[in-house]
Amino acid sequence: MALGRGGQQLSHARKRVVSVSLGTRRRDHAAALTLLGTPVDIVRRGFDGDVDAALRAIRELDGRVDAIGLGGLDVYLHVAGERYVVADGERLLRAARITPVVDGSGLKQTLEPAAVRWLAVHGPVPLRGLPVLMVSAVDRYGMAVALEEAGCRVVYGDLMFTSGLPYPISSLAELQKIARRLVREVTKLPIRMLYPTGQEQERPPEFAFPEEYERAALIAGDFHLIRRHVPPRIEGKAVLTNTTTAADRADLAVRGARWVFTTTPLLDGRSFGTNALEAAVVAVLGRRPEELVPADFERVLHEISYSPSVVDLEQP
Amino acid sequence: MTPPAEMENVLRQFALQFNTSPELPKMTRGWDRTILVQAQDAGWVRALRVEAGRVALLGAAEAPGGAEIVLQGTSDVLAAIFRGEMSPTEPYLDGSLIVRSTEADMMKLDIFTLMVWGE
Repeated sequence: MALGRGGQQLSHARKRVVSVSLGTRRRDHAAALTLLGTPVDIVRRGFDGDVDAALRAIRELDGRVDAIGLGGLDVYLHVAGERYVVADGERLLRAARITPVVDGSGLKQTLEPAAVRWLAVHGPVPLRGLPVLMVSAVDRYGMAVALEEAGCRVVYGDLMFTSGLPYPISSLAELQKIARRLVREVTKLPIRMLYPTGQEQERPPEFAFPEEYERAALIAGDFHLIRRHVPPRIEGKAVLTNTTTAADRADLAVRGARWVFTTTPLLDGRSFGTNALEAAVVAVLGRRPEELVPADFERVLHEISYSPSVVDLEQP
Repeated sequence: MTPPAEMENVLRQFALQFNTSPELPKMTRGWDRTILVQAQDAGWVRALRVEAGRVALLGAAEAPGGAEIVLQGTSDVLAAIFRGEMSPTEPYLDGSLIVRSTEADMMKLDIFTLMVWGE
């Protein structure tokens, strides 16, 4: 036994976590890791964008595993102190009555700013003054704030890349204003209208607004959104995103990208989605998701000596 | 039931708000569309034309057959949407607003109506 935050005892009995994802099932995998001294088995199951099938899976898993992660969509969007709820995500969240369900947004709010701060000090590309295209920021507002604090010149592509509107958002203040007007209502729409799910994630890119990619030295944000619109050439550019596969990195290399920075931690040599990792934290700490505070996630990141991954695509 | 003359005022006010917005003319660049507004209970039809970043209310006789977007609902629902009292999302999801268009156009129109009336 070990002591958790607040002095409560942590059981080191093996935990089981399942990540239920609306993404493609082709990325399914199982892995084990040790977190805060506790072994955790993590299984990822993709449902190809089928919300009802994911809902049934969560009901079946409820009470049989220690925590469930929701992947391939966000349930909560945190923008400038406001919390918005994605309707389809909330349906999934409420499908479990016993087992805690998390979407990774709690961890993401701590992890991604930490990744940017680390890159500002240790990264191979100086961030101050760097032109950045953030394909979407309402889903990772913490990253957006951290990039601005690091001195980047950021253009936000939320309206361009999720709705096809030719309107680059040029400041955090404008992003907040537009988010206040739109996000609460738009998040009521079916998730497939807002974000590529399932096989949509594997369609060849249909590049849009290539001038915004061209202008940026760093392209940041959700990888499925980046990939969906990426132009044929992004010569010498850096990509800052959540997670990539070897095939994703090979594709970026073919397009001429130089650097890939991924925020998702490597544990025991493997990369896990933030939803899976947040579910593992909940399982290990034995607490309800709503009881967790940023300090809990900071502690976990400290204990795993967190840093983002830096890949030089020009190195074989 | 919202009478045609009142709806005409509502749509005129909507167009005015739209055309004086700092963001909407830029957001709608290249999105030239005709929107047909059909009140099923009151039997009237009105049309809006979005072109070159501006909205114009077409005369009753100008309502074209080939609109890219058709909105159908009760006159009160349609009036509430264009007055900014109701977002189009909720009546669309509960079936009291029927939208005939591509999904992409529907989402854009949703965003524009939300942007017109603000928070």
